[in-house]
Amino acid sequence: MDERLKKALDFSNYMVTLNNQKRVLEEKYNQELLYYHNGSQFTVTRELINFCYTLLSTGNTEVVLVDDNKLPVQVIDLEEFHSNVLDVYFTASNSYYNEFVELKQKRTVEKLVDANE
Amino acid sequence: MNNKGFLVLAQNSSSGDYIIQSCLLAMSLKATNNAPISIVTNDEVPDNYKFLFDNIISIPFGDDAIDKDWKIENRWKLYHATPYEETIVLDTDMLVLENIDSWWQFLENYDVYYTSKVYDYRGDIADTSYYRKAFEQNNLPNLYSGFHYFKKNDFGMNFYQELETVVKDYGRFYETVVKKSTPSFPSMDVCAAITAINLNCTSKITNKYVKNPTFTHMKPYCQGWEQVNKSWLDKVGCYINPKCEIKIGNFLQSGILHYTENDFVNKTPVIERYKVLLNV
Amino acid sequence: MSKGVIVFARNNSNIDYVKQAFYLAKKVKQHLGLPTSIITDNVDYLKKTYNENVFDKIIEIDYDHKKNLRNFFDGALSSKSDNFKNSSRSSAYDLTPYDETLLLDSDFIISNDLFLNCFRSNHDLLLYKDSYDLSGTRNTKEFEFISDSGCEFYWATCVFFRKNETNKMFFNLIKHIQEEWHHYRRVYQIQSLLFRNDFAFSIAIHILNGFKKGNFAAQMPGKLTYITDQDILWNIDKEKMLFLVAKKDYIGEYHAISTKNLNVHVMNKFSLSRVIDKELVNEQ
Repeated sequence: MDERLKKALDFSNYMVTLNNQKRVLEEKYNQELLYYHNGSQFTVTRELINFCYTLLSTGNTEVVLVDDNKLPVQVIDLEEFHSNVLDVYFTASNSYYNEFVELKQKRTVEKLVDANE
Repeated sequence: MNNKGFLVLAQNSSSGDYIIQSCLLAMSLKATNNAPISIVTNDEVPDNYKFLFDNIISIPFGDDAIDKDWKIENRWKLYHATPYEETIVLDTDMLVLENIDSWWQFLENYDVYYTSKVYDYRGDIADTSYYRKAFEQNNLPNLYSGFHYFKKNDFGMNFYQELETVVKDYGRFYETVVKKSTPSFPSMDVCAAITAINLNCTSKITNKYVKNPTFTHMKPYCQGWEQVNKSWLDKVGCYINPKCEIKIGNFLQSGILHYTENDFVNKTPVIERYKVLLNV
Repeated sequence: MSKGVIVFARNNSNIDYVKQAFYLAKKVKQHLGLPTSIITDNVDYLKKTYNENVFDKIIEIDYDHKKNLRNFFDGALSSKSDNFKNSSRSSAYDLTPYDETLLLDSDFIISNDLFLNCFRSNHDLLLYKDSYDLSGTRNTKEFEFISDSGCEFYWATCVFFRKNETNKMFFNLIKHIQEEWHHYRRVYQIQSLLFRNDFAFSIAIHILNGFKKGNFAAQMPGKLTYITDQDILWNIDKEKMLFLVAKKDYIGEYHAISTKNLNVHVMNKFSLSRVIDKELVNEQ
C-alpha cells in the first residue's frame, strides 16, 4: 500500500477510536451527574444549580421541583440540596476533565483504549 | 351573538365530500364539547345533519375558489363569516375526541393564535419537514392553520385583512419571502406565516412552550416510520369502539385528530359509530 | 424489606448461562453488596461445577423442552443456532424470594454501584428505555420502538420491582401476552416470530399506560450501555473492559473501545464466556 495512504488510514483509525473514547467518557459523565433525593432522581444541570441558588438568594428555604420522571418533589432543606447537587457537579465534572485531558495525551490507538487507567 | 364557537369551511370538490366530513366533525364536537359549531359553505348540508350546526353560513363576498379543485382561496374570509366573538377554526378532516374547554381558557390570552407544533399518533412531536420544506428553507414561522383561533377585535381584523392581501396576491409575496421550495398554490399555512412576518407579530400569535392547543397530524411522513405507505390506513390498524374511542396502531387517540384522508370516513365505521352514539 | 438480585440461567448446548450468572453474582456482591439468587433448570450442573455458596438461593424450575431457535453471533463472522430459553422471565414476580428485586440478565457486567439507587427510588417499577450503543454508529431504531409502527421499547434486561399488587398485575399481564404472543405480535406489527421478553414487557407497559405514552414504569438510573453479539468483549481487568466493536459497513473489522466503571450489557455470550473463563483461572 502507498505509505501516504497507510499513514492517513492509521490516523483515521486513531481519530475514530479517540472520538469513541470521548463519547464513552461523556456517557460516564452523564451517569455521574445523577443525584437521588428522597427517592427521586435528578440530573444535575447548571440550570438546576442556578435555580436553587436564585431561590436561596431570595430567601426561600424549600421548594417543589420536578424530577427526571416528571413528578413533583418537595425539597424541604433547599440549602442542603443545593450543596449536594453542587458537590455532584464538581465531582463529576472534575473527574470528566481529568480523564479527558489524559485521553487527549494518548497518541496511539493502543494507548487510547488503555486511556482510562 | 354567541360568545365562543367552532367554525369550519367546507366546499365539496372532486377530491372529497367535505360536507360529510364537517358533519362528522360536528358530531364529534357534540359528543365531547358544549361550544357550538357553525359551517361556512355554499353546498347543501343533508337535512338529517343540519341540527348539528349552530349556523349554516354562505361564503361571504362570493366564491373565490369556484374553479379550483382544492378550495383554499376562501379561508381568509372566516373572520368575516364567524357569528362568534371568539372562534376556533378547524379543518373539515378533524375529529375532536375530548372536552377542550381548558383550551378556550388558554386562548383567552391571545387575539389570534396558531399552533406551532403538532403530534404523531404515538404522542411524539411530529416531524413535518417532509411536507414543510418551504418553512425550513425560508425560515418561516411554523404555523398550522388546521387549528387556529381569533377574537373579533382590532388585532384580529388587522391580521385577517393582511391575510386577505397575502392570499389574493400570494405570487408576489412568495417571490420575496418564499424563494425556496415555493408552493404552487396559496397555502394557508404559508400565507399565515407571511402575514405574521409582515405584521411582526409571530410571538404574539403562537407559543412554542405549551403542548396544547394542538392536534394529532396523520400525514404518513410525519409518523416517524422508516417504511412509509402512501396512506396511513394501509400501514396501521384503526379501531373505533361504540364509545367512539379511537385507536390508531393500538394507540388511544385524544385531543384533536387530523385524519387527513378521505378513506378514513369512507372505509371505517366512524360515521356509523357517531350516529349510534348521538342517536342521529 | 428484603433486597436482592435474581438472575435466570437456563443453559443450551452452546452457552453456559450458569457460568455467567455465577460471575454476575460475584460482581453484584463486590459492587452492590447484595445477595443474588439464581433461577435455573441446571441445578445439578451448577452444584457440580461452581461454588453454590455464591448464590443466596438456588431456585429450581422445570426443564423446558420447547424449541425456540435463534442465531447467537460471536462477532460479525460467526454464529450458531441454538435454543433461546427465555420463557420464564414472566414468572420473576412469583419466583423472587425478595421484597425488592433487581432482575438482571446473566450477560450483564456490573462495574459500579449505580443500581443501588434503584432501592432508594420512590418508584416500584423501573426499567430502561434509554440505551447507549457503545459503537455509536449503528441504527438504533430497533431499540426505540418494538416495531416500525409499534410502542416504545423497554429493555427487560434490568428490571427493578417491589412486591405489590400493581406489579403482580403487571407480571400477570406479561404472562398473558406471552401465551397469546401471536395475537399481540400481529396487533403491534412485530415481524419476528420469536418471542422476546423486551417486546412483552414493552407491550404490557403500553397497555397499562392506557394505550398511550405514560409513566407506569419509571426509568432505571442512567442509560443501558450495550454491545451487540456482533461485537466482542476482549478483556476485563477489574473495572476496565476492552471491547472490539464492529465497524460500520466493514464486516469482520472492528474498532477498539475501552470502558471504566460502566455497567455494560454484553450480548455476545461467547466472548463473555471466554473472558469469564480467563477471570476464573486468574482467581485460582
